[in-house]
Formats: sequence, structure tokens, C-alpha cells
Amino acid sequence: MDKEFLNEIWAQFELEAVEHSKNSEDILLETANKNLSKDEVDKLFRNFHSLKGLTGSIGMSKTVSLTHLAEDLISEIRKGTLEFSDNVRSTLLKFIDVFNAVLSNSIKSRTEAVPKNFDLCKKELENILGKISLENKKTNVKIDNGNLIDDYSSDVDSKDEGKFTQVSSASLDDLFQKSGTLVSRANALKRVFEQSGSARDNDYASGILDKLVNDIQILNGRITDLRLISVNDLVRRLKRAVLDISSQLDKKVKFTVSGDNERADRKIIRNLADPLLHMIRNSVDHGIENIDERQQKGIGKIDLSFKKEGDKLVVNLSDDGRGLDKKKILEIAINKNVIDKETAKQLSDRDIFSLIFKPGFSTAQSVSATSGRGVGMDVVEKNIALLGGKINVNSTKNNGTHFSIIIPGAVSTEECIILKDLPTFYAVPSRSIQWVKNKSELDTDVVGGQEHIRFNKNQIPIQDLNTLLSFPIKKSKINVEKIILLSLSDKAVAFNYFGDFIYDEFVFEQPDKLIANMPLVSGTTVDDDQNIIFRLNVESLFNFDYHTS
Amino acid sequence: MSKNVLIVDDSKLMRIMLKKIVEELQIFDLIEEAENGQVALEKLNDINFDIILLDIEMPVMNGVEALREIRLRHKAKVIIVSSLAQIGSSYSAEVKKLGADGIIDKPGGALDPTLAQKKGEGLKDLINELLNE
Repeated sequence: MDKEFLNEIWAQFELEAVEHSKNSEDILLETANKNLSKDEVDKLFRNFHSLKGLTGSIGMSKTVSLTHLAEDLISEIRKGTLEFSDNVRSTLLKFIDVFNAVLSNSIKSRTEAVPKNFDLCKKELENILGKISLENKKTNVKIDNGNLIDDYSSDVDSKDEGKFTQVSSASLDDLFQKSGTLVSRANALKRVFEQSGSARDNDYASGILDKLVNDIQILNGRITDLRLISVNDLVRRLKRAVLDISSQLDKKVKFTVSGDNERADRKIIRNLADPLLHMIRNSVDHGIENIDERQQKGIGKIDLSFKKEGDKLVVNLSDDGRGLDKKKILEIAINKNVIDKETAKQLSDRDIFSLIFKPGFSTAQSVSATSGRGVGMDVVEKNIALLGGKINVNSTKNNGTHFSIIIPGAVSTEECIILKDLPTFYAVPSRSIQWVKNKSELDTDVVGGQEHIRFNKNQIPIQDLNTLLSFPIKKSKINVEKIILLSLSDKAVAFNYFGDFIYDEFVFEQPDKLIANMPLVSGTTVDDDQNIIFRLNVESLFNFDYHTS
Repeated sequence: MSKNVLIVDDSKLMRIMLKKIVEELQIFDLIEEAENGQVALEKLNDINFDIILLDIEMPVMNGVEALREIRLRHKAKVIIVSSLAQIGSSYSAEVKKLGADGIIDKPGGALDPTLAQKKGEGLKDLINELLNE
């Protein structure tokens, strides 16, 4: 067989296998806490049957026999010889996990590669099947035509094969980054052209330039649209998590999701996964009470909704548990020096609830295996802020906790000034900058041994940037001291900087593990010359404790 | 005389593999595809096919239903291509009763060229045999 044909086969195999595996998982997850309807059993059977056919056509004989067992199991349920139970559901979900592992390993290696728990999964399926009496089984070997001619009209698959083509996400990312750069370059060109006065002298060129900028913006818009994906993959992961955690903690939870067809940028959805997983774990672990405590309220409810509002994606997450304990939050916040006693007295309810997002605050008094993964709500807030979003929390005693996240539906580039005369390039988002001035033009006061500038009648201390970022103090060649003033609502921070800077636009990625614990870095990117640029975490700069650093 | 073949299977992967096999025969002028029984019947209204390769488990309209319709109106030779074929003769007898001219296991074994070759040859032999009847 020629290589091209094999490539085509593997690509098509992946496409179809992933689809059927996802469909199967969806059916099992959507019916959590319920029995399967006849229609759902039929669908599940057909999906498993397709998975068997697909693996057979590739020649993955071990996986075929595993899938065959899963198909048999559904077949028994279809015939009423086996009852669908939570145990069966969890075995089938495990089967799907194993199948997915086989899939991704095998597609990479192009041989049949099975994971370690493969045999265990097979045993489990065999055990369940083994319990059905042999006598029952014999009658099932005969092909039942009635089953074959079941009514499938309710399930009209709209397969638009041929209309779609697959593009790797890496090349999509690259395309998006490049088209973003193109927009800023075109805008810069237009600015230069207009400032130089050439625009007045040359109507023709100016007209072309306007059209060019316009076309590039349209192109960028189209590419941005290409990156939109539905939230339903994320929803599947979350449903799975709820099922796993609630069974782990022996809690009954009804998880409802609405708006699972809303779409947003891939990067946003990808980066929303960890915060949402963490929050949902918290909801099941802390929000929903134990079965004994809940006697009266009945089954615990967690509702998640996605909604597009303009160009924003609004995500709401509520539970109907005991709610946040104001007194306890204040107690912990004071104990952990997140706030002082005086401030605590002036806080509104919402302010108190918002304390859970402060660094250093973690409500779990004992670390539980479920929520205590060393990540607190501060990380959740940081991740959402990096996406350009905001998170709010509200709670009513005994009536649940409600989180609301508002994030942009599309990723946009962020305009920054790049501080190039530091050992590492740092980017400061333009929207947070109040002004940049030469220090010689400013009136400064020395208060308590520290230089301050005046801003809105307040004295703002001038921080030393090198010290703040823990750089060894080394003055750059440029001796002109600039002061950069950042402001966010009513707060302001000033720091000095020796050197030049340039304007540019970037899309920042979440920092990887290596630098994730640098509090003043909230994102990274790479410029055209492959220099790494850190995004200065301006949001945390306003809450930074300058005395201890 | 020109010869036409129709491949009916809901899996595009399977259609790609079957198409490759029938192409190798170099006797067909037209190779058409359909993703379920209903689409197959629509194509049969416009084109005369000599051979139909038919899958059983399909959404919208499955192979058994399609076979019944085909037998009422067309004289094309129908080969059931199904993984159920390997279960045993009871099944193939059942399908033959409905009017199938042949039954064969799904092609496959992209991982194992020899196996893929063997399965492909089996299908080719069957097609040749039916066309010479």
C-alpha cells in the first residue's frame, strides 16, 4: 500500500473513531443517575459497533476483541438479559478511556499500542458478561432481524463530509499570530504615512493603503472565526469530572449544563478547562453536603451555563449547597494576613466573598484529595484575568454559591510597551499605563526615605523595577530615568526604568510550570526575533506587598 | 459494456478502502458511494449498477431494509460487506434469503499488508465471479 493512501486511511480512521467514542461517552454522561432509554441503548450499540468495525479495518485485533466485549454488553442490555447499573456505566466509561488511549497511542505509532490497564478493562467487561447465564447467551447468537430493522429515522446524522477539511491546531495558531502581526504592521504603516504628510500629497496611495488596512482587518476577522470551537468537548470533560468526583466522595449530584453549543476561541476554551474543573471540584467537595446532611434538600444540584453576550462569553456556575461562610472567610483572611481587622469591618458581603480569590487564601482547612491540589481560587482568578476575563462570586447561606465568569469570546492581541533594556524583555499592557515621563520633568517628594510622585492628590512611592523583578542592579547605557505610572480603578503604582521601549501587539500564552510561580509574570510570548517576552502581571502589581520583597 | 459499482457504507474509512479494492480490478467505469440505504436507493433511480457493496448497520436506512427495496426494483448483484459475516453461516443464510448474492467480511488490516491483500483478493474474486454468472 502506498504511503499517501495509508495517511488518508489513518486520518479518516481517527476522525471516525474519535466521533463514535465521543458520542458514546456523551450518551453515558448525559444519562448519569438515570437508566438508558431504548433509543439510547440502540445508539450506544451502533457507536460501539462502528468502533469495532473501524478498529477491525485497521487490523487492531486486540482492540477489536475488547470493543467486541463492550458491544456484547450493550447487546445484552438491549435484549433485557442484563440490567444497566452504575457499575455497568462506570465499566463502559473505563472502556472508553482505554479505547481513547489505544487510539492516541496507535495513531502516533501506527501500530496497535495498548495501555497498561487494557487487560484489566477487558477482565471487567468479561466479568459482567460472565454473570449472565450461559443459557441466555445461546439464544442470543441467532441474529434477530427485528433488531436490525429498528427505526433509525429519529437519528438523522447530518454528515457533511467533503464540506470540511482538517487543519492542525498548530498551523491555525501560527496563522492567527501572523495575521495579528499583519494588522499591527499595517496600522503602523498607516500611522507613519499620515504623520509624514505624504497622505495629503498622494490621494491615490492613501486610498490603496486604507483599503489594504481594511482588507487585512477583514482577513484577521475571518481567521479569528476559524479558531472558534464549541464548548461541548469541555462540557464532556466536566460532566465526567462530576461523575468521578461525586462517586469518589459518595455524593449524589445532578449536573445540568445549558448552552453547550456556544462557541468561543480555542485558546479561551482550552484555558477555561482548568479553572472550571477546579471550581466544579470545589462545588462537589465543599458546596454540596454529604448525603446525611442533605436529607431534606434531596439530590445536590450543580448548574453550569454558557451564554454568548455580544462578543463576550458568560459562564455561570451555581450549586445549591450550604453556601460560603462569611464568618469563616473573615477569620481565615485575618489569620493569614490577607486583610487586617480594621478593613474587615468595612467590607460588604460581596467583598468578603471575593476574599477567596486573594493569594494566600485557601478555605480547605485540611487538604482533601479532591480539591486540595495546591491550587487555590487565586490561581483560578489569575488564569481568567489572563484571558482578559473577570470572575465574581456571590452566595446565600444554605442556598448555594454562584460564580459568574465573563470572558472575551475571541482572543485579541494586547497592545504593550516592551521594556527592552532589562536582562529579560518585559511587556507592560498599554491599557494599564497612565503615563510615562522623564523623572527630571516631575516633582518628587521624599517621604520616609522613599521618593514619591504626586498623582490625583496621592503620594505614590516610586518602586525600583530592577529590585522588584530581582534583577542584579545594572544600569543600562541610558541614564535618563523614566517613571512609568500604572493605574487600575482607584489604585496606582509607579516604577522607574532606565532605557528605551517600543510599542507592539502580542497574544500572550499562559506561563508554563517553570515560571508559573513568578508572581510578577502572567504570560509569555515570543517576538519575531525569537526573544522571550514576559508580560508584567500588572493586575497583581497593585496588590503586591512591596515591603517584604 | 460499461460496468458500474455502488459502495454503501456509513463509514467513509470503509468506503475509501472498498473503493481502493474495486479500483484495482480496473473493470468499473463508474464507482459511486452512498452513506446509507436511502442515499443508495436515490442513486439507483438514476444509474444502473452492476454490483452493489452493502453494509448492514447504518443510520437512516440500514442494509436489510435497503436490500428489500433493491430486490423489488433492480437486478444489480448485491454483496453484503459486513463484520457480522464472520459470525457464521446462520447469518449468511438469513441474508441470502433476503436476496443477497454474496456475503463477505469487511476488508481491513491496514496494519498488516498481507492480511489486507488477502481480504481484498477475496472481494475481488467474488465480484468477478458474480459478473461472470
